[in-house]
Amino acid sequence: MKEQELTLGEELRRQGISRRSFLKFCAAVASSMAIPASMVPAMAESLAKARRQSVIWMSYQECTGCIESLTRSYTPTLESMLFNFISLDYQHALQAAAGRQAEDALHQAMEDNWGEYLVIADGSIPLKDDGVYSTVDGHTNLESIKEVAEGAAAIIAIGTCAAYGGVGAAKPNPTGAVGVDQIITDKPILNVPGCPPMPEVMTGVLTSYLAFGRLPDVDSKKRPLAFFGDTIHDRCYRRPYYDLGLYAKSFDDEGARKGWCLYELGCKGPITYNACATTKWNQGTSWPVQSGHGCIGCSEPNFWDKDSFYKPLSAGQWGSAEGIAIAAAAGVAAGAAAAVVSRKHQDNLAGGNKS
Amino acid sequence: MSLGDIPIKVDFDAGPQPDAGLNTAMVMALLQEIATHLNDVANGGERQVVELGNLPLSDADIVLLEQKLGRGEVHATVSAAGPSEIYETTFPGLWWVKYFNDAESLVSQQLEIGPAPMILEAHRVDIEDSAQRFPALFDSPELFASPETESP
Amino acid sequence: MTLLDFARGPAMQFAIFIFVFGIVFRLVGVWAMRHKRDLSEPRQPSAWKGGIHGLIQHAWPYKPFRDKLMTDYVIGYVIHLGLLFVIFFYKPHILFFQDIFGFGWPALPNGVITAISIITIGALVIALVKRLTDPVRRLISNFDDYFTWFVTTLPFVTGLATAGNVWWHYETGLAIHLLSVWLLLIYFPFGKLMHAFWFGVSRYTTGSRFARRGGMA
Repeated sequence: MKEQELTLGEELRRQGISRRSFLKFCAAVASSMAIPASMVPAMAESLAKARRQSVIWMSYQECTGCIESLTRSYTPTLESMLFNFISLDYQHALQAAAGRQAEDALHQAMEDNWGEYLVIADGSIPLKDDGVYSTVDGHTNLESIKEVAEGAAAIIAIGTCAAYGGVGAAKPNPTGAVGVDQIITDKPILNVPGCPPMPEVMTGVLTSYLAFGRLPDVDSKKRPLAFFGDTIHDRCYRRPYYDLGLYAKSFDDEGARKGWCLYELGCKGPITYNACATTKWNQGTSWPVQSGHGCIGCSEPNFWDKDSFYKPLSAGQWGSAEGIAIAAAAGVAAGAAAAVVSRKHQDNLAGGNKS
Repeated sequence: MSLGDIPIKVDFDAGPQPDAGLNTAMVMALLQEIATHLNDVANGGERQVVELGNLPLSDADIVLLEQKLGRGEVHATVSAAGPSEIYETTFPGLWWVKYFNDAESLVSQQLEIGPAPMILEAHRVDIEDSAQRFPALFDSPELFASPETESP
Repeated sequence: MTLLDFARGPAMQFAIFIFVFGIVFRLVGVWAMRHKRDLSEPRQPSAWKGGIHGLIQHAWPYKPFRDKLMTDYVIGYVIHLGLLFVIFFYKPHILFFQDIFGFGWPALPNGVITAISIITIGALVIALVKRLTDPVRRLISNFDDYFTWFVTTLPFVTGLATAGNVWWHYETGLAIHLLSVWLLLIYFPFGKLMHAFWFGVSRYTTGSRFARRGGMA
């Protein structure tokens, strides 16, 4: 309890961490969020004055890929500082406690920080048959999200599933899965889609919440504009080749290696909003398009159901080609029928005198 | 579509994929921006920072920029939350600041225009902390007791 | 379902259904009509030659009318060649056809396609202005003529805007472009756009009938 009364600056200084670290951390966050670098000192200042943030992480119908991605991505120096800024009070994949103890910890954290804690949710929430398809501690995810949301200051939906339903909601959506904002409507919600989402977004969102006291600006799909403001295509280093009309014909052909555009191989970059092209993955090592594969659009709603990942964007989505044969047959029938009528009309005009 | 329809051509001899080439226009625009900032700071304006990470610069662009700016009198390393490398370019007041996560991964790269980069300055709060801790040096005189080892 | 998913999926399927149905309906409907037998004695044995002659003859203005019609012909050619190149030689379009037919063909550079699009839109605008300013042409123009112009021009404008990415969201722009093309396809069989099929038939028929009677096309 006492620790929570210290500011982050005081707490870190006790650990021998100087303000330079704050400055550097904020410089890194500002860089990833396109916050003007001139704002960094002020940001570091207010972050040092903030207090440890209680975070409750709820996992619903998910694959644990999101938390795997996030935890694996933090290198033990700079980015892990984030964990000094938050108190992760409940995360059932990471916490030592289990069973009753874990659930008690959850309720204790909710009680202690009522109205102030942040909820991070990953995974979709099934609605069909009263949500029986995913339960924790005897409660459906539906009951659970409603309960934790009530005392939350804000909710961050991590991953495409929590944001839009994701793979759980893919056709035929057997469990009636939906994203968090389909259920909770009276709380600030931020979507951080991606399969998995980018760790830098998580750091950026939490840091700016701590430093500025509010969630960052979002677009119409509740995504932080700083990371989801541009399409992959807009920021792609292969973009000049698209404009020139130079396309790779197959994976790893000469064009692909020269950096030509992957549009023809089905890249969904033009319709996908995410920061992969600039932030990259694995501490800036690379990202899908750089390693030669088109973007599959994993941060967009229903990306599973948008036909093949390898189909060019300009190609249509065919249910089946049978429709065309039926159309042609119907055309013949209608044409013949029209001809019969026309012939009768012709006969009438000719005065019954068949020619 | 089946797996067979995915056009795959594997070439194990292929080297690393080259990055996009020079974007000279981008570098020129950046140099113009720096010139403006230098003028402002020279006339007593506030410190300016240009974040390089958000600009669509290729590796080749960065190399070109490094060549053009060169290295000046000061070179510093800061160890706080991983290493940081700072050097003054051949243009005094124009600093190249690299923030590293660990030895290899660069998290942020900036050009700072001002008398000294902000990461080099000690924060007032840290100085206050020093002021508080410092008297311990002479409050405990035993620290100054002559060492037992003999001097050669 | 987003607008783009709708445009790429159901809307496309519906439009192509109507397009195929409509064209087959019109072709069968006309060909299955009772064709009036020509009872006259043929003045020359091979009337089909006249039909072929008719096809060629009308591809260029007849000499006495050249001064009057040349501009219209040139504008017509610009529009039609523009349609041909933009529809069939722009890479993303080729990829659309490749998905249907299973084979592709070389594309023209994007810059060339952009230039052709702009020229074609210009020609379409001139054609409309000429139609509106010439009292005779205005008198014989009806809704079909104007709507045909509209559905032909719209995909060019929306396509150019999408390629240049002037929309707020690229995916919305692409969806609007696709929908504008589907509108063209749906209207195609039932309006004057059907001339793409009829022009050959009518020119041949006129030519061969005239030839049979000893005239010329």
